[in-house]
This record gives sequence, structure tokens and C-alpha cells, in this order.
Amino acid sequence: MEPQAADDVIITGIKSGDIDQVVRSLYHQYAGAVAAYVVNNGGSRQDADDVLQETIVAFIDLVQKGKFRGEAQVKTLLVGIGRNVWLNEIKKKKSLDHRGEVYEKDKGLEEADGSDWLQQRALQQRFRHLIARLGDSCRTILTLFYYDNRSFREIVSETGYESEQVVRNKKYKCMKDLAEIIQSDPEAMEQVRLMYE
Amino acid sequence: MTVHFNFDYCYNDDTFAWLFPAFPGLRFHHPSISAHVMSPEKFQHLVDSLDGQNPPREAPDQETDQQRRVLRYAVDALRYDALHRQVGKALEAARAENAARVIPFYRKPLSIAAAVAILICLSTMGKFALTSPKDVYDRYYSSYDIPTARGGEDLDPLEQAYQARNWSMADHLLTADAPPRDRFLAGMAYMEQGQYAGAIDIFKPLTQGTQYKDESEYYLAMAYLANHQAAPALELIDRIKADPDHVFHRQVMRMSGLDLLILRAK
Repeated sequence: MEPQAADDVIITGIKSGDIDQVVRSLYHQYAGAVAAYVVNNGGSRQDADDVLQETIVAFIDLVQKGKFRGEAQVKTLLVGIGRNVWLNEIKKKKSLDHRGEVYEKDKGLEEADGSDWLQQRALQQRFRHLIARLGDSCRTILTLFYYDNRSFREIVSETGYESEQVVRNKKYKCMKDLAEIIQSDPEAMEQVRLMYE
Repeated sequence: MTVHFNFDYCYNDDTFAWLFPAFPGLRFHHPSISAHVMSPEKFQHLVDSLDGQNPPREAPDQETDQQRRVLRYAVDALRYDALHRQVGKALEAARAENAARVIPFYRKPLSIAAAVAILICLSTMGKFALTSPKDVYDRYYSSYDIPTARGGEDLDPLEQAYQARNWSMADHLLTADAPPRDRFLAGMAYMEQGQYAGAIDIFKPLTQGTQYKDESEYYLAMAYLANHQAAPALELIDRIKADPDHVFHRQVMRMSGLDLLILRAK
């Protein structure tokens, strides 16, 4: 994929799982625009990098769930997501002197997006918080199975476990651990109740 | 009395059982924990149905339904976290690729400076190779001008012949009792004719306490250079440089230090 890939090429790339190339293309085309907004509104270079990562993940997630209908350009959507992410971060960063000024200036944009986006972002942040509590070996096995779609045989060869049965048992135990982590988190359980009917 | 707990801690109903005897009315309840732990078989079946390996059982109870939702949430969390990490790694690679392509702002001036330094070096090496005593002579030699304070028409026949570049008169001037001026002008005539060895023989004695000492020292140095004798020439040049009152001090100071350095090095 060329660094300056067109919108339809990017969407196709996401749907076919070519995430690395999509990210490369999005970076080369839109990192500057997102970074400019963050830095011009009180953020550091590191903030800009973090916002860009979250923006790209949110965008890919939208496309993978079929929520991108192609009515807006990729650039418009990305920059819009980036701005929302940063505005949300500013609200949390109470130490910024001009937090109120920036927030007030862009308040109209955030309100127009409604609470859905905020709810989705809170969910995604909770996801990462919970998975970070999972042990490395569980994270590896479950990621290989549920994200990389590896078979048990492939997981055996990639991880060095003794057999497929050992991997199955390990996966079962890891899912149980993860379920318990989720169930012990009130915010996560509230999200389960509201968003997972 | 029911106490609700809302902090991050993995516990079950037995965790606070020790409190119950002290507080008979106290009951522990967390809205997220089921009244009893699901059996491993039931849990495994739920996971298998989530993975599409078993059809879900019909008419699930509330507990099963909640566990199913928790597992769906778990899978979404895993996928989101993995995507986040993959995007992070891909961004790192893209930044590294970009950094490798972008020339730092200082690299172009450094490249130019390096090129200039190489050029200077090559030029110096070339100059070193090509600079000889004769080259320095050719660069700095100029004929002796007879002082014409008196206006020119007062020049004697010898001076007039010199001004007219009549060098053949030199042979007539080299007598045993020829005065320093005549012998100096004879030496200059030899210089003008390219007879540098002869000029050296004439200028040498004139550098010892005669009224043409300064002129003789300078042109003796020139004659040595022309004759490819760098060492005695440099010795005379250094002597003239060290004497600010020397008649030819200014001419010697105009000589390139690099030229003289190269001659010394060779």
C-alpha cells in the first residue's frame, strides 16, 4: 500500500486485515493534522502521539464493526475523532491553565457528537485497563486465539506448549481469570449491563 | 442491613464471612457476583458456544445469560487491546521509517561543510604538490626600481642603461673595484636574464655591511628561490621578516604563509 493511499484503499485494507499497512498510510497522510490540533491546544508531542494511536484504533474499530458508511472522508473522520479524544483528555487534565478556554471553544463539536462516542471511549479505556491485569501468558494465548484467529495447533507451535490439550486447558483457565477480572470491576459490569444485551 | 462494595478486588461471598457473627444483621452483596460459582463444565460450554463450537443451550437462566455477556465483553476487550498494541507497533515503525527519510535540518549544512573541507584539503594537497621555490619566485619577484627622487633626468649612464633594460652593460660592471651600487645593478641584470647562479655570487658579498645590504638580501633570496634553493632563501626571508626596518620588510610580509610553509616542509 502506498503511503498516500486513497480512502477506498484504506477501507479495503482494514476489512482485509492489512492493519500494518493501513496504519503506515494513515500516519504518513494524517499524523501532521492530528498532531497540529493537539499541540496547538496545549498538548505535548507525546500527547499528540498518544492521541494519534487512539484515533487510528477508534477509526479501524469503526470500520471493522461496519459503522463507517463512507459518507465522510477518512481525513474528516480521523481529525474529528482526534479532536474529540484530545478534548476528552483535556477535561481530565485539570492542571492545564487554559483547559476551560479550549474546552469552551470546541464545546459545540463535542456536544454535537453526543454521549455515544464518550460511552464508547469509556468502554475502550476500560477494556485496556482490564486486559492489563491479565497475566502475560494468558494475554498471549487469548490474543492468538481471538485476535489472530490461530488454531490450537498453531498456538502450540508459536508458544511452545506441549500439546493442543494443554493449550485448551490454559485457554479455559485464562478465560475464567478474565471473566473474574471483569466481574470484580463495577464499571465494567455496568458496561456489560448497559451495552451487552 | 446490606452493604454494597464497589472496589476492585476479586472476592467471593466467603471473604467477609468472619464479620457475620459479629454483625448478625449484616449480609454481603455485590451486584456482579452470582450467588453461587458456575460449574466448570457449564463455564466451558459457554466458552465453546461463544467460540462457535457448541450451540447455546435453550432458555438460559439469568446467571448463564450474564456470564455469556461477560464473555462477549471479554472477547471484545481482548480484540480491542490487541488492536491497540498492533497499531502502536505499526506507528513506531512508521515513525522510524519517516525519521530515516527526513534529513535532519543540520545534515545539509554538515554535508556542505564536509564537501568544503574536502575541497580545501584537496586544494592544499594539490598546492603542496605543485608549489616549488621557482613558483614562489615567479609569484613574488618584481624588478628592482632605481629610486628616482631626483626626477629621472639626473640618472647616470649606468642607471639609464638599467632603466632601458640594457643588460649587456652587466659584463662591464663586474670589476674588482666596482662600487656596491654597480655590482648590485649587475646582479639585477643577471637576474633579469635568468642567470640566477651568477646573481647569487654577486649578491652574496653585498649582504655584508654594504649600503645595498637590504636590497642584496632580498634579491639574493629571490635568486635562491629561482635557483631551487629553498633553505637559504627561507633563512633570508625569515631574517627580513624579523626586521621591521628592513627596506623589503613589507614585500616579504606579503608572501603567503602557506607557500613558505610548504617550502619548509619539502
